[in-house]
Amino acid sequence: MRVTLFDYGAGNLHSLAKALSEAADEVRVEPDPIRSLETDVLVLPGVGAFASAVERLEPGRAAMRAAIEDGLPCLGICLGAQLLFETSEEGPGQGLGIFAGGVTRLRAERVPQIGWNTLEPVRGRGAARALAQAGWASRPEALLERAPLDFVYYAHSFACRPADEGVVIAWSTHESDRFAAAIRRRNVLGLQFHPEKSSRAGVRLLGAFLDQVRPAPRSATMPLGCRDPEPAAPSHAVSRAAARLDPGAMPCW
Amino acid sequence: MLVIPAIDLREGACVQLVGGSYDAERVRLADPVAVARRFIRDGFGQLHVVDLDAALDRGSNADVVETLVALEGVQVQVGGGVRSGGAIVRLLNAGAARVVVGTRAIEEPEWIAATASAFPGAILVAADAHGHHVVTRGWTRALETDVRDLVHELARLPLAGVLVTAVHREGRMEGVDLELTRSVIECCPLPVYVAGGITSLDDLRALAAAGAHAAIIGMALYTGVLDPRAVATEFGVPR
Repeated sequence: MRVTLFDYGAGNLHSLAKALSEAADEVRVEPDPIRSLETDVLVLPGVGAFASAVERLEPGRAAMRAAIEDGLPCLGICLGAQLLFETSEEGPGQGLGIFAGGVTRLRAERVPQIGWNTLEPVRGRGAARALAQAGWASRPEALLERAPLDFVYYAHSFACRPADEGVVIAWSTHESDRFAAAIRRRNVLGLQFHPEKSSRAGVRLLGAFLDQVRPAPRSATMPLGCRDPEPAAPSHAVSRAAARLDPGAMPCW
Repeated sequence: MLVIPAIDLREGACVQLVGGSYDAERVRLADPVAVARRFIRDGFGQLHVVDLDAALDRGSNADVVETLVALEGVQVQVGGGVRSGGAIVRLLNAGAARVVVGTRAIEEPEWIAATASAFPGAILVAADAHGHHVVTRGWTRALETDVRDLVHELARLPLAGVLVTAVHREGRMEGVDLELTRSVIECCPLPVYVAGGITSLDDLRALAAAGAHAAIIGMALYTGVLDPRAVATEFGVPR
């Protein structure tokens, strides 16, 4: 499985690439927005400012949007998640518009929020259960793995405000501002927090997402490039995902 | 990356030691609270306070610490001699943003596992390194443990981060141990705080490029080798 980080020139991607490499066969950093689409999973990393990021994105914005709408799995982290929206208060320019809504400054005295805060999965939804079970499960027999399932690392001044709150699979609250901490639509996952800085549990969450969107192996009945999130043909990848996830919790909407 | 000025407390004063040696005190300022206020005025949003006396069981600067953590307009992380959940609760209740735990966290993995889970995102583990080897007890005890193995294990926990101090560079102003920093960040999916030897804006830029979450500076700010305002402008409050 090939994972590509679109590098819009805004800083160190090493931690994220390292974390993703634990679950991917190949992790590539690609500064060209069009070439970054030649991949199994596109990652929009989370460093920098909205305006400069969309400027770098602009030549490939329409193509990237079309590829994601067409089923290319996409993971956006922090600013990367904000790029999935239409606009941002932070600066001019058009985001990808995968999610309806905008990005606004945190309504709080302490901005930016830098540090650990809660992750509150939306209860009773498949994706939220998947998030809780896949990313934040702990093995009680391993004392050092007894990480709480509900704290993650944030570093942001702005937050996503989806027009449809149905896409929110986890919330968080900074001071009195309740904001979307994780959003999901089909194969697109946006995380306001940094899983690559949220301990081993955060890295497991990345692995669980990659497992969920892993393309089915090439076969006579399954054309290459099919990105059905629930592959019909059994495979090692699917069995591994099934071992870690409740199949009923696999989100698909 | 953030830069966090260090305020090391000894006998009620703000001091700087060379190489962590209590016999090699190079800076002494009588009023730590005035020092903190100056850093806030310069534009720093966070402070790193260490009670050196408590760390070596030679006394306590608890009164000064309480005043510092209650200051407005700044986040303060506190360490030095913190060895119990009770001490952590007291510091957090007094207003500390994070509590730095050293020796006991290294020597008792089960204790730090339970403690990190009890205070998720609030505990910073200080992993002091001489070369690649972990040292504890005020840098008097060298362990066989490789600091990279240690942070790899610690990354299982919901820690605020790990603070890696290059003991062999501390207070000497000979530049940072970039190789150590890179290798720690490589094996640690947690925010990594770095200390020891930071002397120039180029040191800071190199640490930022390596992916450090924060850098803690002492000696270079106190001796004027680095201009606090210039540092704060570039690294004081993240954008």
